[in-house]
Amino acid sequence: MQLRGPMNRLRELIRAGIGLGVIASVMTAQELPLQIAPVPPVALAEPVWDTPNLEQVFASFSECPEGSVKFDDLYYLRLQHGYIAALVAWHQAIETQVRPHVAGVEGGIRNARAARLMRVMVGLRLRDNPAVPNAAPLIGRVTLVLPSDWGRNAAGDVVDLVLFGTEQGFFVADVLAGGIRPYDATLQRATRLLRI
Amino acid sequence: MSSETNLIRHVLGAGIVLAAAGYLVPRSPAPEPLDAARHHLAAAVGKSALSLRDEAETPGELALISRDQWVAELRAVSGSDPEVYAHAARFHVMEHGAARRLVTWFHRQMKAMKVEFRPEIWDCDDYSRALTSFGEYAALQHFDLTHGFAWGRMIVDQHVPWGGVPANQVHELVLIHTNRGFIVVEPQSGQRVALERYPNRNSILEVFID
Repeated sequence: MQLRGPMNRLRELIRAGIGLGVIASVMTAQELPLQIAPVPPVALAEPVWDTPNLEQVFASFSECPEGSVKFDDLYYLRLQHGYIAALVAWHQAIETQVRPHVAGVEGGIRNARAARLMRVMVGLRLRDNPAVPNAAPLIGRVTLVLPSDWGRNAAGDVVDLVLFGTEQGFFVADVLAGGIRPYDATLQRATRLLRI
Repeated sequence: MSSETNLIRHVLGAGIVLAAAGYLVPRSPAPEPLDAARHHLAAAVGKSALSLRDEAETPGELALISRDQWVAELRAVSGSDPEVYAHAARFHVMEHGAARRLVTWFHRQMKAMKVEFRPEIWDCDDYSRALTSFGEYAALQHFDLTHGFAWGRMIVDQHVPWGGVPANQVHELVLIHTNRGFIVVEPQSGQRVALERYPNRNSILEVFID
């Protein structure tokens, strides 16, 4: 438990003052080199108005262990299959930008990071387009035990992968290694967590 | 009709057409929201703009916390017994002041970009993702986030209205473990509170630390 003596109170007031100074500097900050470039224009599968609901999406994951699939939304938008490559290339450019600052990676955490950033940036692209129905892009994250060697990972490794839903079905990608493969029954059975 | 009258008519007609064209086609197209996003993110990553470590307080590297300790503290402080999903074993602990600055910064960016709630396409889970994503990528410029931050996206059964969000719904927020304990953040409004004072702390359903 933290002591609440007069000196601590004074210290908190000083810290609050410093905090206000920092907030002021946020308002006046100059533009600096790092930029998160916008994702390429989003290509949605046709027809765009066909937005599968949660139950329809869930039916595609019939081999996943019970309780391993978590949904954030009720309606979803399929991507055009060709858009996966564009999105992965976009993210690789960002990774290149930040890589000099990252010494190591623990347990494939960067695929989880990539899944989040892709979903956010695609959502921002779609959000202002009134022609797009109120539905979430099918971009998520899967954690699974690899049933066989794949790319930089060996069979038995627990890995995070990015999940995409397209007009051709569901696919997982290791965005760092650049590999993409169907999210088939074998991978579904090896799934620990799917969140979309 | 005289040629002068015809000339006047043509000039007037051309003027009307040009005026209509000027009305229909904006002289300078409105900036694309994502350009604004890019600008504001760029503006936010300078050390002077988004400091994630108060060196006077704790010099050196960011502290680490284990997954087990994180979960044990969450259960002890909240009284909830949520499912916690975490792949990694350890996480970087953000300092309390840095967390406050990050939340303020994020809220400013959302306002500057005029990002507002839109059902499904940009709702509570998207706000939570955006806060954690933007914060991480900004921090990556100055820190080796090998382990990721000790924060998670928290699903609650919101039975008490809080942070500008009404009650009686399942809701997603961000839970940050700082060096002074947990704070709960409503990314849509920028409101934050210590977990021990968060009114829905007893009904935390799931936490995803990713």
